[in-house]
Amino acid sequence: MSPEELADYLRERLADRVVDTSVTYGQLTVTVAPESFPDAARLCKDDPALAFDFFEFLSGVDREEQGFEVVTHLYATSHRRHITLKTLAPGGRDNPKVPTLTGVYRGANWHERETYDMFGVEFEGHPQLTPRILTTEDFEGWPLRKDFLLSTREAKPWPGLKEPGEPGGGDSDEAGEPVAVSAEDAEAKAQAARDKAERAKAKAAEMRAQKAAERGAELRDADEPARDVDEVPAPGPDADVPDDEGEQQ
Amino acid sequence: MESVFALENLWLALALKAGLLVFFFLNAPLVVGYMEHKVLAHMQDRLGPMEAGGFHGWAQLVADGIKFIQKEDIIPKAADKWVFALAPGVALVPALVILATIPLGPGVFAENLDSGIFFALAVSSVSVIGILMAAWSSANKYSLMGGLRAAAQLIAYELPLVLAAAAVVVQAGTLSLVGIVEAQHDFTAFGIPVPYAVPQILGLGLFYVAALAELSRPPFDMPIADSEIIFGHMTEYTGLRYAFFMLTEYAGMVVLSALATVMFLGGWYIWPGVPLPAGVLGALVGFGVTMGKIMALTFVMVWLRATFPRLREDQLQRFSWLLLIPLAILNIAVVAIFKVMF
Amino acid sequence: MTEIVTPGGAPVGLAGDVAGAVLPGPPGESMLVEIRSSDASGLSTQDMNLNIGPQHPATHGVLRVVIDLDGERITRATPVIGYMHRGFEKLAEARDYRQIIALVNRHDWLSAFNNELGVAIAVERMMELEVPARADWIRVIMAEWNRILNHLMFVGSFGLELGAITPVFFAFREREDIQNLMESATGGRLHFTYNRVGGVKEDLPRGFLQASRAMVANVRVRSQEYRDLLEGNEIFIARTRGVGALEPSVALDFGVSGPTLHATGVAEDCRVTEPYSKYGEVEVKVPVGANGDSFDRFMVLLDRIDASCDIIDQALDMIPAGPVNVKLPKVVKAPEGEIYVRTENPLGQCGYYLVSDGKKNPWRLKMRTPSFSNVQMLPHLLQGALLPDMIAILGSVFFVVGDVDR
Repeated sequence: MSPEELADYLRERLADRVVDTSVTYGQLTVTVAPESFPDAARLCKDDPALAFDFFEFLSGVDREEQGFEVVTHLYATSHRRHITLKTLAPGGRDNPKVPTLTGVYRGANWHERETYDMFGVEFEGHPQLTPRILTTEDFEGWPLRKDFLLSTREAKPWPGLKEPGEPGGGDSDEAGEPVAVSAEDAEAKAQAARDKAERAKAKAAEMRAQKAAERGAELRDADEPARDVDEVPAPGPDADVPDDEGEQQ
Repeated sequence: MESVFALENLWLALALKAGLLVFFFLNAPLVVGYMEHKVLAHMQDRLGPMEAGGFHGWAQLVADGIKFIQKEDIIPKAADKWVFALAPGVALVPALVILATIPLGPGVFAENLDSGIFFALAVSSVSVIGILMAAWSSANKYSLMGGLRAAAQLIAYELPLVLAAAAVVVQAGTLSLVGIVEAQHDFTAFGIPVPYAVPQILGLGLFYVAALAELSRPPFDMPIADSEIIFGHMTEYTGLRYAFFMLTEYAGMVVLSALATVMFLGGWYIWPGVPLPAGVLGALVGFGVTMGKIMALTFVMVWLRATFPRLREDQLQRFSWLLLIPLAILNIAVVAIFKVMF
Repeated sequence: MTEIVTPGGAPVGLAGDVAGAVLPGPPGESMLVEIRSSDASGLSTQDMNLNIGPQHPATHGVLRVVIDLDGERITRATPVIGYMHRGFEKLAEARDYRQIIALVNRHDWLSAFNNELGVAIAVERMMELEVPARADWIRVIMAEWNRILNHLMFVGSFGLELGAITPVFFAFREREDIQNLMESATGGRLHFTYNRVGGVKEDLPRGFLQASRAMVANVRVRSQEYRDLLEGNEIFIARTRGVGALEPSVALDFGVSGPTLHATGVAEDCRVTEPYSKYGEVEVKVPVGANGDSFDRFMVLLDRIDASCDIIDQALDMIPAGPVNVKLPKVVKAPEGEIYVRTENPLGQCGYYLVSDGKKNPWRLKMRTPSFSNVQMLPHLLQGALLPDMIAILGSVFFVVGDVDR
């Protein structure tokens, strides 16, 4: 069965519990309603035409405002097929809950514990979600959520390129220059660029005055006035002053 | 046979014997230990100690000894202080005592007891108590497990040891160790003078295997399996006490190899029937021959360590109770029958 | 020899009656007394609760297994992981696609190249990049050398845990030679960082291919040595045959993969079922075992070393000349979407679930590591085993703790 036929087969069996199917890069992803997550997995495992007997993994993805998505990937050794089952946990970001898959696949046990540990998604019916599996037992917070900052960045402000999730952090454009994420950041960046230009201008002017003074000392009797500072074009922001924003290498 | 160290003055003789005994007891394990380092290393495609002492690291174990002596004396807080402190001594002293009775050459011994072999085997059982004391008093679960394993193993392998020795006693007709060597000197099988190893090859095998198990040497080192229970009863020991335990192991290797040499390999005679030169030269040659045979036996012990993984303790027990002991009993029966008939 | 009692239907890992009593406190606390009477013969005995690890010579790293012992028999085993959790997945969200290559070769440090390969392939598939042929063949050669390195390590350490102290030195001698070879090409002995998105970093040094050929011949000879030392050794067989037998259905249910799965008889290998890189053009032998016990797992490992030697020989014959990487834009961005790519790591199947939102960092990179699933299966095998058998099982279910915890 090709991925599309597989999608049709599942839609037939699960009817309206399937929220969405998509085939990308040759792989089928089926999004089901949260309550029927174990049923869908049970169907995948027990149906002889599907026979997804190998449990790959179960994990979560942070979808920001929509909440948390729980993803599980299965593989059929006899048919050599893959399938990704997804569901969006109800309860938003405060109280995400999804029924457990441990009754269907024993391997889901630790994967669900890890998803709980990392995202805070509770799995109803899981034998024991605590103690936390990867972090320490008294750890506070859910590490893989997007609003959980890497602690190194909290402890000490980083002078270099900002990372996503940090204030001021963001993307790069095609040339590798950092692109601001939000408007305030754009304004801050523009202001910083203007300040830098000012400083560069002042420095260049100082150097020219110094040189003029030296030359003036030599040509004391030449009566030639030093050139006016204002006529010299000020160096633009792209001049070769050291850019401490950090070029991406 | 009189000991060469039996001087006119009793106290002087005693001091001389005790001094030489302790000297030998402290140095022979060093030689065996160094041999183990080097043999293991070369079998594993590496060099072994090369630095300590300059020439191929001959002083490695001396350096180790000094290191152990200068270490801090640590006793775990929950440990039973006195038992913990005394356990290494209880394990070590029997080896020293047995060494006093083993003849290493013609007249090269401290005492020639009439009940030689009986005394040796009886005293060697005392070191089991030392191991159990160490295991229990350490207040450590790993030590406890090691001690329990050791208790079961050492009790199980005492029997093949004793039974194999009993077969030799039957054949020699005497319990005295010197007497056994002399009996081998006169022994011929079908007209060819051979040591007892030839007719009692099974007995030698039994004694050797049981000796390995008594010493907790691989492949019978389950009580000190370092990948499972860290180091068994010795886990909590450091410094000089730990050195005593290691000394027990190497001295035990020397002692049991010496017993096997005396009982099965003809003792200090190069070959039964070949007389030794008289006087001091004979004593030295005899001593050299004995030491050579002991070194050969300990070499095989080290070789076995490099080659075999360790037996699980229930396999160990089965091996002893279901295989070795019946074979040992069979061995005695056959030897007794032959002794009576021929 | 050992009877392995499977828990009747209850979910394994942590059973229901765990609350409080048995689950351990911080390591170091004395847990000598755990009162639970055994049911046989009316004698009430205390089961001993023992911590194997986190520091222990036999656990490959900081794995802690809390076991309840009835004498020498394990009644319950609970692995406690997380001592080496380094937050790789969180870090990956803050790295761009070139830095990720250097990051992911560290979770299973014994199979570094294969990890990088998985991530590189995932990004290349999302970007629909065509990798030059020479780069692909170089990847195959390096991946197989890494596989041999990994398997040699476990061949050595398995013997060491059982008490055979010699094979480990021989195995490390081979590892040194192979690591020198890899270092001449990549600059690293353990963490290669040789893959790039779209190929490999640079071409192989002159003489590498000839040296590879000579080394393959050497490894073939030496692997015969390991067989001689261990395969026929009666004590080794007695310690491993029948110990820790795993059923294929249980293994698949847990997601166990790699040599552990092949030993049960299931020949599931990504290089054969969904070939990536140039594996479709070489013949890949997948050795399988019959019983799934520790002996089979070890034999499968030895056979895989020989199979990898064959693959390298074939690759050395077929490698063409040409470029080894593509010109990338200054900033590598994967288009929006998700992909799951899995490769056959030496320890099992390593998968990368990459969710991209079009930026230069991934939105989510889930690392599906083989050791995590293998270790999850341990309590099932350890129940009812003797303590020395536990060591044999831990040594034969090959895992790396960095892989388990990421």
